[in-house]
Amino acid sequence: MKKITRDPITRLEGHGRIEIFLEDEGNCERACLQIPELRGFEKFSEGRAAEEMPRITTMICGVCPTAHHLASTKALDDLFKVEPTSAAKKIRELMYSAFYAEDHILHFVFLGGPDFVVGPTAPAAERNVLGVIAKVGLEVGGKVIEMRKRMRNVLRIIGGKPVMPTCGLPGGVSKQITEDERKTIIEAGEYGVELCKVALGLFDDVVLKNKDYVDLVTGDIYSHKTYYMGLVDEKNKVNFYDGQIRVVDPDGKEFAKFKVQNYLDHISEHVEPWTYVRFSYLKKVGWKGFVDGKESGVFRVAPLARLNVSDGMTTPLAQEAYDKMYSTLGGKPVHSTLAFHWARLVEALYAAERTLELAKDPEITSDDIVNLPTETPKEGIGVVEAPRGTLIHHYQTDEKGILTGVNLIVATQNNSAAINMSVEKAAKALIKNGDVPDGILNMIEMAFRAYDPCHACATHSLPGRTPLEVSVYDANGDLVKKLVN
Amino acid sequence: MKTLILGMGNTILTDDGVGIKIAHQLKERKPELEVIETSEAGIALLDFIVGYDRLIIVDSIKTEEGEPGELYKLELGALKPTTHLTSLHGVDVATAFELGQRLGYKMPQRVSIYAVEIKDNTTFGEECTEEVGGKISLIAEQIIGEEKL
Repeated sequence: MKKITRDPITRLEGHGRIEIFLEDEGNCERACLQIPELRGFEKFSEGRAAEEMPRITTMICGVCPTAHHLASTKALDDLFKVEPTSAAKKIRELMYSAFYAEDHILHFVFLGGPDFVVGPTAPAAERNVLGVIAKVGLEVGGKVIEMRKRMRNVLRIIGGKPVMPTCGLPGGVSKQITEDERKTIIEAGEYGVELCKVALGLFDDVVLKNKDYVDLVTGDIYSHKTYYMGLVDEKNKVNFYDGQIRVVDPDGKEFAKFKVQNYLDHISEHVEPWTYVRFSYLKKVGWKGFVDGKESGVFRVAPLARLNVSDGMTTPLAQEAYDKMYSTLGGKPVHSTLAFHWARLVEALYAAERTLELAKDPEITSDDIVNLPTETPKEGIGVVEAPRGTLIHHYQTDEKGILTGVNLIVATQNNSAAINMSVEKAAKALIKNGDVPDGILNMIEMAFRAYDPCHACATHSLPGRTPLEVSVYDANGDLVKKLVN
Repeated sequence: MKTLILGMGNTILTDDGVGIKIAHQLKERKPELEVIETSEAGIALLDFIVGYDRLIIVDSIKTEEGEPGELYKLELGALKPTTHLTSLHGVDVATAFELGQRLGYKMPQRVSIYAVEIKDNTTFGEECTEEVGGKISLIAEQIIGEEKL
């Protein structure tokens, strides 16, 4: 065995890389983000029974297993042409709401929080989850952990496991909810609503009452006037689990509204030679490069996008929070990337309220939980809003249900073009005349952390984080500075 | 002393699952051991490790110039972020540990972390590469010896 002679942590591979190219005057001309991507999922899946996919796809993503499980299960509904029972749809959505509430709150406190609660210019050593806990106090920190525990218990009750659920079947779910379990879920929902209110209050106190932060959120450096995409219900209200995909233009006007089965008419993918990442864009607008505006097909997904495409929330407290966000930020749509954090909190509150609402629904304990499929499978497409954006699973099979084709449009891929634009815009604003300040790394990270991007997050190697490296090249292509986190 | 062996990784990403496969072998050879296999990371570690006196983590690592199949024994301190920035997505092992301590949880006092150098963790596949897969039995034996299990 090799005892440490040279700390392997100092030479980790698999870095995310940001490359910044300066022009003659030393200003940023171009910047791009390169992240290791996973390969070969289609090949891995082909030849397997389609029914395996809801269990397999939970392993694709380290943070969105429930989203993949449900997108996959809905693709199976479509594949076998079977409509789930009303109770099954509610049970699925209940599980999903609990997942969302937990996921969003954790992101805000542990990942986004350091930028806001501790502060973007705070000493690096404090700008992490421990710094957040130090600032908000152990009590709030403990409550976040408690909420996480309770929501994961809901996932275990419904999904079979606290992560990587196994309950989804074509046409329904595998297990009904008992009255005792309902009580536990109601308590979790109540706890979640209270904690989300605390989190929004914290955002109010720490961010909105601090002019510097408000300027940062509303400033141009992190803003892009793009299209937005997200699922809405029949009244154009936000829905994570079901509905039609709505797209609004940079002025907030409806550009398209379609069923997921027609996604190929609306979404195309652009490739670049320097990355494996595929960049989604709106087919009917076209790819015009990494630029924003009405003429560019670049669109954004995830919390802010969902709020921008919707006419509101279906739950009362979340609707209040929604109204407050838009009145504070000057109406819809909001283009500031950092407002994703605020939108995430509005959604977290909605998810907690929806958990409570569904748990109290008389039908939630029904035993009518599955309709058996009778059709011969051929092709199925399913969609959900993953916390990180619109997620589509598309399967083709032979008549026995063995997979012959798989296409996934994952949430982060839909944001990839915008993420690159945000990185470049931040670099252009922060690098002047060859001066590359050391603090630039966090300011650029802030640009893409707001999206909560999901790059190769299913990989797991130590130390449990994705190292990031920024390389700056001068006009001659010579490396002039390297920053590593 | 209450001991937990935590095998970490993703078993559909080629070598990424090596920690889980080694943990599996440890359980086969020493059925009395408490072994948990997980593909979770970050804060979720606290779900597993709180309440144990001793923790042995088996995971993968990918370094420049590393020899696939090589085994490292790391200290928890070695995993501390070098410049303390938050990660893209999760909370790293060392931070999760410190968080648990600050929240007053009963954290393991003895921690050993074994990391296997891997070759490929970006291609979907259920089998490890030959270089890594061929070392699994040997590594399991090494850990048993080193930890006197």
